[in-house]
Amino acid sequence: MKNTAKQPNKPKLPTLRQSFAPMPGSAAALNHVGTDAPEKNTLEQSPRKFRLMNTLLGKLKECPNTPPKSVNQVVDQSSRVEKDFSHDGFETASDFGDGSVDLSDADSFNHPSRAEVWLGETQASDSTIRSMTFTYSPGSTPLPPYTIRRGVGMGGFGEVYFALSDAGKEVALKRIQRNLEIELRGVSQCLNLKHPNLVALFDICRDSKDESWVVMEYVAGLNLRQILDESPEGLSISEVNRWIRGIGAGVHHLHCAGLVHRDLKPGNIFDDLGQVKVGDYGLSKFISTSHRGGHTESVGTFHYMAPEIGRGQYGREIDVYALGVLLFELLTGRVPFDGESCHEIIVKHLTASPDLSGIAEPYRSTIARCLEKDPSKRFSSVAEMLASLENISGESWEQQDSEPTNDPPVLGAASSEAEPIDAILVAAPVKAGNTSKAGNQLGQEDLFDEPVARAVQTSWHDFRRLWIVNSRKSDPYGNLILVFICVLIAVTQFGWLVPLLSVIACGYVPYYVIWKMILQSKRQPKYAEAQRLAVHYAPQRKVVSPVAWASSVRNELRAKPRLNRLAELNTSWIAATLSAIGLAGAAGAIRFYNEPMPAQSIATYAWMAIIVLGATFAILSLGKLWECDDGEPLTRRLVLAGVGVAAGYLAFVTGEFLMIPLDGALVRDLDSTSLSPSLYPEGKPTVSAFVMHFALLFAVLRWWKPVDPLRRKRLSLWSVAVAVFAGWAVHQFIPIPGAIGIMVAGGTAIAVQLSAPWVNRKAIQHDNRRNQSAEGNLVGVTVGGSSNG
Amino acid sequence: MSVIKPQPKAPQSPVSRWRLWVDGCGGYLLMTGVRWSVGGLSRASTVDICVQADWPRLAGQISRRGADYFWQGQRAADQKILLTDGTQVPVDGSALMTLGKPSQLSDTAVLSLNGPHRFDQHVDGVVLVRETILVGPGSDCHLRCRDASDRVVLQLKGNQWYAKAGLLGDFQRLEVGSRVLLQSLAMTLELA
Repeated sequence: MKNTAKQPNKPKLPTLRQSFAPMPGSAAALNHVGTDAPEKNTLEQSPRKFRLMNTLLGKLKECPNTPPKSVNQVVDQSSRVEKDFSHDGFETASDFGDGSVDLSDADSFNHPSRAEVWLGETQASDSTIRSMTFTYSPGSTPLPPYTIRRGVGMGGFGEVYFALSDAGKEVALKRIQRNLEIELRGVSQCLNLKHPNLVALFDICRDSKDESWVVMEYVAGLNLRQILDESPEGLSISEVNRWIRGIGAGVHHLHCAGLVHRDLKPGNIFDDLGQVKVGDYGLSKFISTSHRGGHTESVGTFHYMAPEIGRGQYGREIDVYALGVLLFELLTGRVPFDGESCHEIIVKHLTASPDLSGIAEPYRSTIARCLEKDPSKRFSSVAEMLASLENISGESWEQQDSEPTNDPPVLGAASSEAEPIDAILVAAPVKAGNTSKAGNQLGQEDLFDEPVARAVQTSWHDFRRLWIVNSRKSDPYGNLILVFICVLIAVTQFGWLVPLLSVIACGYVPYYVIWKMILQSKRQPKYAEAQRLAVHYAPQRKVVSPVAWASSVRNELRAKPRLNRLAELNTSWIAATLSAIGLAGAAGAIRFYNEPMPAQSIATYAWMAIIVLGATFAILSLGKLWECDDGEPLTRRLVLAGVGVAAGYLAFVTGEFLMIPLDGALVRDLDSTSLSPSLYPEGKPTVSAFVMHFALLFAVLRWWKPVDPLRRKRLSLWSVAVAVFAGWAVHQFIPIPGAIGIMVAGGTAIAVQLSAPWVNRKAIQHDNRRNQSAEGNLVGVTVGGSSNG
Repeated sequence: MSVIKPQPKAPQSPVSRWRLWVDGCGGYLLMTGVRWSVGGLSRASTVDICVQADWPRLAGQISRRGADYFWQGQRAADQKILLTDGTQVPVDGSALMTLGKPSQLSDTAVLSLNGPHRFDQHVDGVVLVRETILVGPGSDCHLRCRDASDRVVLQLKGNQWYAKAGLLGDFQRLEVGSRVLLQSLAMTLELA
C-alpha cells in the first residue's frame, strides 16, 4: 500500500490532452468567438471538400486503420490527431482572416512556441489507464478557506477537487497546472455567466505558492456519459426531452454571450441532482480529443465533431452539430457516426449521411438538419433547433430558463441587432425551416420522405436554382439553351419517352405502396400517439402472480416484530389445545357412539390427544420461525425428525403413565417383515421403537407446509390424507400399539392447520378489487393482513 | 409560556462512524451497528443518518436483523417494513432515500438520496457496514466508482479497517487520516 499524500507531480506521458470528462465538477472547453457571423464555406465546393479530406487523411496517416491493440495505442493516436487538427486549424484560420475564430484564439494558435508547449504538455488522464494520484490529500487547505475533501478528476489543465469552505459551502476547485494564461483568459470571460443549466464558475484565486485555482460549482450527480452507459438502448422520450432542453438552454445562453462551447459531449453534461448542467466550458481553447467517457476502445470527441472543425473555420454551428449527435445518442444510445478508427469516424462526418430510419419525427428532421455537412443548412441557432422539437414535448424549451435574469448581461440593447439569437429569444420561437425557406433553400421538412421522390424534388430544386442563377447573371442565352434542349428532347423522343415514363410510373406506384407499408411498420409512434395507445391498451388491472404475491407477503412476515410473532404463536397454541381436545373427543364419540366407554379407552384417546398436542405445539413453533422464508427442506426435515424423537419419548412416557397396554395391537396390513427383537422384545415396543416411529413420521412429511400462512387453504383434506397415509406406511415398518401413529398423524395435520395463521389471498384480492373499483383506480393487488384462528 | 419539545431518542446501539473519501468516486459515511436513527437536519441533530431535507428530526430507525434491513417509522401507527434492495425508505417529505444491497456476498447496505437532497457531512452516501464493503466499477459494488478499473475490498475487523485490491492478495491496514492507493483507487479514511 502506498501513501500518496502530498506527492509531487510526476512527469506525465506526452500522449493525449483530455479534459477529464466523466467526473462531476470537472471543467474545460469553451471558446470565445467574435460577434460577427462566421463566414460560411459550404461543402458544396467539391474541390475544397476533397482537399479538406485529403488534408485530414494525410494528417491521419499515422493513425492505423486497424483497431488499436492497446489502450496506450489509442491514446497516442488521439494525440496525434489532435495535434494535426490544431495545426490544420491554424493554417485555415489564417487563410480566412475574417473567420469566426477569435483573434486572441488565433493569436494563441499561431504562436508555434505556444502550440509546441501545449502539445508537449499533453497528458493521458484516462482513469482506466492509470490511477488518479492527486497532489493534495483530503484535509489539505492549499487555498484557504477551502478544505479539500477528495479528488474528483484530472483534466487537461489540472486536477479537480471537491472542497468545502469553512462555512460548509461545497465547491469544485480546479488547480490550473498547464496553459495557465490561456485558461485564465477563458475563465475570466465566463465568470459572470449565470444560468441554471451551466456549471457556475465562482472565482479565480491564487494560493500562497502563486498557483491559480478556479473555484467552481460542485456537481454531485452523474454525467450523461455514465447515464447513457447504463441505458445502451437510449433514454425514454421524457428523459430525452428533459436532457436536450437543459443542454440546449445552457448552450443557447453561451451563444448569447458570444461563446461557443466546442466540446459538447455526454461527458461534459451533468445531472446535478435533477438539474441538467453543461460543464467543462471556460477553460479550454482547444478542441479536445479526449476519450469518450473514459472508454479506451473508442476515439472520444471525434464522435461529436462537426466536419468544418478540421478547417479551423467555424462558429456556433459546431455546437448545433454536436447537439444533433447528442440528440441521436439520447434517443438510440449510439452515435450516428461510429467506426473502428479515427479515420473512419472523420470520413463519415465528412461524407456519410446518418441512418435516421429508426427515429420518429420530429426528432428525425431535427437531427438531420443538425447533422448537415454544410453549416449554413443547419439550424441557425439552438433556439430554432429546440423550437422544432416543441410540438412533441408539448412544452416550450424556454420554460426551462425563462427567467429574465438568465439573459446574458453582456448583451445590451444594441446587441439584439447584432445577434440574431437575441431576436429569437425575445420574439416567439421561430419554427424550424423558416430561415432556410427565406434563403430560398429547401427545408428539411419540405422534402419528401420517399427517396426517389426526394431525389426528383432535390433535382428540380437544383434546376430552379440554376435557372435563377442564370437569370441573375443576365444571361438569357443560358436559359434559352436549356429550354431549347428540353423541347428538342420532348419532340424528337416523344415516341419512346412517353411509354418509358408510363412504365416508370406504373412501377413506381406499387413500389411506393410497399415502401409506405414497410415504413409504417417500422415507424416509431409519436409520443402523443404512443401515450394514447399505451393508455388504451394498458392492462386494466395489474395481476400479481402468485409467486410475486407470496414474495411480497413473505417480506411482510419477515418484518413482523418478535412480540407480534410470539403473540400469534400463543394464539395458535391455544387454538391447538382446543383442536386436540376436540379431535380426541370427536374420535371417541364416533368410536363409542352406541357403546359404553371403558376407562381404558378414555385413556387411549387422552394419550392420543397429548401426543397430538405436543407435536402440534412443536410444529407451530417451528412454523413460526420458518414463515419468513422458503427455507432449506433437508434442514427442516432433520429438525422435524428431532421433533419426532421428542414426540416418541412423549408417547412412550405418557403411555406408561396412563398404563396403556403397549404389548398388543401391533397388527400390520403388510406383515411381510418380522419385528426386530431389539425394538420389540417379547412383542412389546420399546422406547426406541416409539422414537423411531415418530422420527420417521415427522421426517418424511413436510410439516412446515400445513403451518405456512401462505398455504392455499386453511384446512386441506389432502394434507390430512397424506399424513394418514404416511402414518400407515411408517406403521408397516415400525408399528406401535393401536395404530396410534396413524391417528396422531391425521390429528396433528388437522390441528396444525386449524390453529396456524392463514393469509386468505382470494379474500384480499377481492377486497382490493372492490376498493379499487370504488376509487376508480385500476391498480394492482396489494397484500393485506392475515387471519388467525 | 414554555413549550416542551420531544427529544429524539438516542441511538440504542453503539455506532462507530467513519468518512471514506474515494478519489474520483465520492464521499461516504461508514457506520457499524445494527440500528440507526434517521432524521432531517436540525440545529441539535442527534440522529445517526442526517438528511438535509424537510424530514422530522427523528423520522424513524433502520435496523438490521440477520441479513434483512427494516424500517420502523417513529409514529405509533407505523409498521415495521422490510427494506429489500432498491426499496425506498418511506419517510414523509420531499427527499427520497433508497436502500441498496448490491452484493449477494455481503450484507452491507448503502443509503443514497435522489436529487436535490444531500446527506449531512457532505457525503454522497451512507454505508451500513456489515464487515465488508466492495468498491469498484461494477453494479454489484457498494461504492460504485464507474471509472475505476479495479476492485477493492474493505473489511472491518474489530474497530480497524483493512483493504485489499482484487480478490487475491493480503489485506492491508487502513490508517485514519492518510490516503492510500490501491491500484487505481485512492481513498482516505477519517473519523466522523
